[in-house]
Amino acid sequence: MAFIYSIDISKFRGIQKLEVSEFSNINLIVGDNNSGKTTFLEAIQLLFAKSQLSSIKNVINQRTVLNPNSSFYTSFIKMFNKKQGNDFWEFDIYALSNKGPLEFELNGREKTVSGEEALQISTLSVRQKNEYKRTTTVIPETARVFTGRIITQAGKKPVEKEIRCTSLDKVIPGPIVKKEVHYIPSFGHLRYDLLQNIVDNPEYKKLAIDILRQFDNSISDICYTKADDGTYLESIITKDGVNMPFSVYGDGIKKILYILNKLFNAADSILLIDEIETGLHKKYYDILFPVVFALANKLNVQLFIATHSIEAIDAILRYGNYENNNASKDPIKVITLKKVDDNNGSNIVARNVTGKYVYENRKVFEFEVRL
Amino acid sequence: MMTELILVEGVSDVQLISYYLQNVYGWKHERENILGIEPLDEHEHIESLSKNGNQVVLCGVGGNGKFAHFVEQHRINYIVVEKEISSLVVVTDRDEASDAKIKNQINAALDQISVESDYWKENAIQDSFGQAKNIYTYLLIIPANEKGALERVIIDVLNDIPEETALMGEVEQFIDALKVGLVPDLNQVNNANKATVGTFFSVRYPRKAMRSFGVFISKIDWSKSASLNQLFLPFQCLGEDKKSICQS
Repeated sequence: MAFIYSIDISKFRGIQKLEVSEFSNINLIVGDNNSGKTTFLEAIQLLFAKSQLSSIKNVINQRTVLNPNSSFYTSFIKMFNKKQGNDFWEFDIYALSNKGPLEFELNGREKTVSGEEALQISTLSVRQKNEYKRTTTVIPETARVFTGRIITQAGKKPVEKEIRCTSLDKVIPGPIVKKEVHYIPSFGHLRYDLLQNIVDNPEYKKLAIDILRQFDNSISDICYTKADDGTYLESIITKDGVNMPFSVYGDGIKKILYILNKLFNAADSILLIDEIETGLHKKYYDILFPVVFALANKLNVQLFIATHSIEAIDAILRYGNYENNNASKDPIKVITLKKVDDNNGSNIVARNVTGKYVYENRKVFEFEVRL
Repeated sequence: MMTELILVEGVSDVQLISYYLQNVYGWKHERENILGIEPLDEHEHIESLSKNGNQVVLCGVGGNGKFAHFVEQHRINYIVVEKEISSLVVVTDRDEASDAKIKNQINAALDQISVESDYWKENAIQDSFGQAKNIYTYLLIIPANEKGALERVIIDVLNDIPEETALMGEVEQFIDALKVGLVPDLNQVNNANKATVGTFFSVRYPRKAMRSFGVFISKIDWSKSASLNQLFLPFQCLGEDKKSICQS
């Protein structure tokens, strides 16, 4: 099982320096808009990334999923904290885990070269370069080139690799290897892929259907069905035997299945859920969350859940059962991120408290955990 | 915007201080209190006042000796850390205790901050994000220079207001006369003071004699008392920058 105890982030996006320790099984990441919640989740993912640009691209793409034409290079450069004035840029993410230290460090320099030179050294294949020349009327006079290295460490010896990319690069070749951390973006359920890890496992399937029935009692089964054009559709079968594609159902059911599907696939690893409340009505929190947490516990999954919703936070805290539970180890940590400005510019700071602390303060006074 | 938290002993203290802040310093009643502190039983009394966007939350902790209990039950030490509070003022009866003993009892209930009597103390603490912040504290022990409680303050104040002096003299003589034979309990200073205040208001406003102390509060122009104005002078600093105005 992968389990991280602490994280130390330096110069990554809006974070100048941030240390958070004593993570628990369920970690709520809360805060105002633009407080660094998604950045925090990205940092955890990079800890498990390989020393190659494709791993970074995979993380960056999560932000740009709704804008597929956005430039990889621009998104890549934005990973560095803006306050690094000179032309040498770096960021570093370090964590302690049950498998030893984890580290992801990226550093290098950016310079301007001619468009022709950038094309020569870009990650494009020869065929892609020719295609680029053929389809592009004018090669830009200048382009930006980043040259640097990625150093990763996952318990054992550090691995260091030289990297280079240019502002002309559209494709970053290389495998995407990411088994120890899984990510659920806030709108991921809209892309479907909801049943992959459910339909072939009778136990998981029964559990998923039981939960779905609390939303819609007419649901009898979930499965893939073959459409007229030969493609397979993710479908719900009603008690009357009617076959309904998921597209006719609301976001709530898709979101539940998406979370469960990812969770089943995340056994012995870390699952990051961004904006867990998206698509879910608050009245279903108390149905879904206890199931998710019990499953995560059973499957040895450490959870990091980002949310804006105070109703979601309160529902998650109810899982702690703090009125009756005096166990010394709290299963829930609440990490509030806040952007602060001082003489050195802006930074992200964290408040890291137990679920019980938040629960008891919210009960007695108006404790605004999100800020 | 500043939020000032004042902890006092009982409902009478809340009523007197609230009335004084409204009529002397221009604070107005506010429905909601920004700290979200709600009374947990019928003995606690909480009022909010506002002025120029600043807010005073005035809490009667439920009586003598209930300060530590109130601080714990309302998680005041957590409020101090988590909320944007400018100051914490504690107003407590002197009774028979020394300043040092009272101060130590109050400070024993507080975590990151502490109070000093008759002095705005600047406490540098860290919030739960590890960020530095300052909270001012003030311990006001009443009466100022004699044993007793709020009733003693009121007697002194009424003696201080020309329109009330004669009646107060008569009432004090009357209570003294009862101590000898009829009501020996009045030999206890606090009992005599309570009886004096109760008798004064009952005689002064006989139609309201059966009503609570709060009813009488609004009948007196407390601002005419030089001794009360002096005693409550620290309240002048509520809603103000304490570093520049109040520490000098």
